[in-house]
Amino acid sequence: MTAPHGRFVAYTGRWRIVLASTSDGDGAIAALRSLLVNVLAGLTDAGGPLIGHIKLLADAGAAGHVAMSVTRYDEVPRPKGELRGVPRALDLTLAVIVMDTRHDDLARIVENALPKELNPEWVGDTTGERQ
Amino acid sequence: MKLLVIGGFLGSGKTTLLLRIARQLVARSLKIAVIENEIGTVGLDNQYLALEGIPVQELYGGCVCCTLTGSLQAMLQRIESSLAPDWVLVEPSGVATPGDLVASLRSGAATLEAITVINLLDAPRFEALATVLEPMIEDYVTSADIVAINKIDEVDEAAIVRIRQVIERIGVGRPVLELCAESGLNVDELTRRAVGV
Repeated sequence: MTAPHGRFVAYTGRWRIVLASTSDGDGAIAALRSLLVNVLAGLTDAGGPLIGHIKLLADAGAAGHVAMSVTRYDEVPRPKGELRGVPRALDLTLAVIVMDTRHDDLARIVENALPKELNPEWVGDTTGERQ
Repeated sequence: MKLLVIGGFLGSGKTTLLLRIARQLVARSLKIAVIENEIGTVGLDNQYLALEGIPVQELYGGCVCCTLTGSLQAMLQRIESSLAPDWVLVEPSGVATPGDLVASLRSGAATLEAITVINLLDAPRFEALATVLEPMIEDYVTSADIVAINKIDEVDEAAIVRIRQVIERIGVGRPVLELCAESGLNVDELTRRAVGV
């Protein structure tokens, strides 16, 4: 049997997030949750029949880390981990794999989904890859 | 050196289960190594596991069931000679076909005392996946030593019965365990059956 790689499109990005000095860990987690919800909303319009996964990991060093993922259009993201105190910055990795979606559409959906309050600075070593 | 493969489709809970099993093995003073495979060139699960205290060997940019088969064999040989762990835990990419992976492992050069395969079925998405990717569901069942129905907290009993019926129709008689990797429900039992501790 041939693995169905050809039907999947992947996008992975890395961003450095410098948080406002007033933003606490809960606020940052809420913004990250918004990111996943926004990607889901974008894929609802342009995406294929199946989400492989939409995952994010935010690493705030000593302030902790949080991971979230969704695999269904109706799923509510549930954070794992915590961001303690008032984290100053996050290293954010977002990975999306979806089926039967144009890569250009996927890249646009992710870029539009980033909440502006996160002030994301792109540091990813890949802007997306077709599998 | 024994090998535990934790397979399953994208988002089926492989990394969450791997983390729980890895912690159980470490708590029993067993030496482990973990191999993460992703089809993309940037990994996320490796970062997450490292942040959770589990160091990871990475195989990225392809799939260990086909394009990276040789790289996996070479990595296993390196791990065997340099770390000599009791168990190597392998998480293939979520689009890998475990049957192909196991076949290549059995013909490889690394000295493996045993290969145990746990394949996860994602209960809330089972019907959608079975519709779109039916051959993969069959591969998950036939190539597994244990079939684990995951995320049972997100479905009702009737859904679990339907999944079990599909597994029975495939007809290879594999043991089936229902679990929730996220909460840990039945993970101890799964580890006992798969690893014997």
